[in-house]
Amino acid sequence: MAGGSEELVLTMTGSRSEAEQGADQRESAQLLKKAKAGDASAFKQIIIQHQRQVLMTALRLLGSLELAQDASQEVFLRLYKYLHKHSDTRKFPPWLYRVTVNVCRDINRRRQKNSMLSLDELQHNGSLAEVADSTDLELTLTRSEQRDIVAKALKTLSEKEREALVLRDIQGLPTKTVARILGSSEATIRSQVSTARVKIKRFAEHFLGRKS
Amino acid sequence: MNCSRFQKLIALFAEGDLAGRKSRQVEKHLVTCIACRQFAQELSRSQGVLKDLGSESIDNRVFQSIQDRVLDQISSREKSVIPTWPLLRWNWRWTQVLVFGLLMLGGLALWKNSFPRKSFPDLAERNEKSVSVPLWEEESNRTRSLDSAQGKVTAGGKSARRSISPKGPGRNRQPRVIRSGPDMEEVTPPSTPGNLAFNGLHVFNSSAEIVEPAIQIAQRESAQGNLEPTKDADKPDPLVIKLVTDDPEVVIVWLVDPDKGERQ
Repeated sequence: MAGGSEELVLTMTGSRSEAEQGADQRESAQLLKKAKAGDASAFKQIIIQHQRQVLMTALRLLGSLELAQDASQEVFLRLYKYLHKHSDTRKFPPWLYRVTVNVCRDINRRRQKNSMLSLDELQHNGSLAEVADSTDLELTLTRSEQRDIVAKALKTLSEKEREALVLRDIQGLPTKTVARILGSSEATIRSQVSTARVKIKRFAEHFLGRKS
Repeated sequence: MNCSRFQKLIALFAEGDLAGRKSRQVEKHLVTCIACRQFAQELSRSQGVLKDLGSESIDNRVFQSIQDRVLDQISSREKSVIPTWPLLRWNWRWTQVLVFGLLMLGGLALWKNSFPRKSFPDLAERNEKSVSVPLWEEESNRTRSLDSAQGKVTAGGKSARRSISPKGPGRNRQPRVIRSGPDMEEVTPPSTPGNLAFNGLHVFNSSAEIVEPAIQIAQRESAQGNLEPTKDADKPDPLVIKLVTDDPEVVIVWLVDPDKGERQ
């Protein structure tokens, strides 16, 4: 009996969340329609809904909060400019991801050399070297410090690998969606993600003093 | 498969990106290989930290700042663009029309000047001024049909020429080509095989123009004393007309013999 009620609650929760999702989608569609018609408050709502998605993606692709803010601003301005081109049949979030990735690519191209840090450069970075030299680091490092190391590791990846990994693992999108956003095949994305994961693991391991 | 190759598969297996046969292969390998098992554990640890990056907290002021900047920019753009836009569009549209019209007029005027319409006297005048160049040698190489004709080709191919040669007993003689221009000179083409006497050659360009009547040329040249009257002068001469087109490979020769009809 207890098991049955638990199952019912789970089913109800599941169906409610689906209903919520449907309502969210309808609401988003309405907002988009209004924003396309020139409703400023609807556009503001769209910004509020998607600003975290855009900023976090940009932050991980660019590696700097300041640049990520600039990128987010540019993304929403482009969105405002090209919103009329977005077809109602297309899903909005992947389209926004695509715009974000393109803006970040442009910014990366502009700053080019400064954006990429090699492993050697990071090894010469004082604070990281100190961290790496200390013993039993994993115990002493806080979660935020570990995040810093992995965030640095992201910068050592190639642009393509970074894009695939950020969308797949950090944003949690399915491989198929990532492939569509990046204009690549699923096999290519899988290969890029796999390589990137191994690189990140090795980098983190190196700085955590746990060489295999 | 060695361990280094398995590592790439493990990186996919750890996040459920591997399915089917390869997934089962990795599972089996992990049971037997300690190093790969350790690799998988470390990978899942780094993956955990990586995924945490997505849930990192960001100060609300950052989001507020982005919103403000975007909305400010949009409103300032609208303020600057909307009042002037209709005027700009009007100007631009009419400027386009004006420029297009002027270009059309200019082109038309240029075309009119380049190709003025010719009247008969103009043509006759131009025929007088043009330079004649005998080209039978060159032309005979181009087509076999020219072997039966002798003539001359005028430079530019635009003017009409008429040359008269003796007929009858004169059939075996070298034909003479007499130019009709003021810088007249006598040109004798090389003999050609065949019994056909050279009588005359009219050359046209592909945009065929009016040919000066042969009899007029003959009369004028006779009056100028450049042509010896022939025995059969009263008898109409067979006429060879060569039509040179823009394509050097295509030459049409048209022989008109008043006695035998015409052949081509």
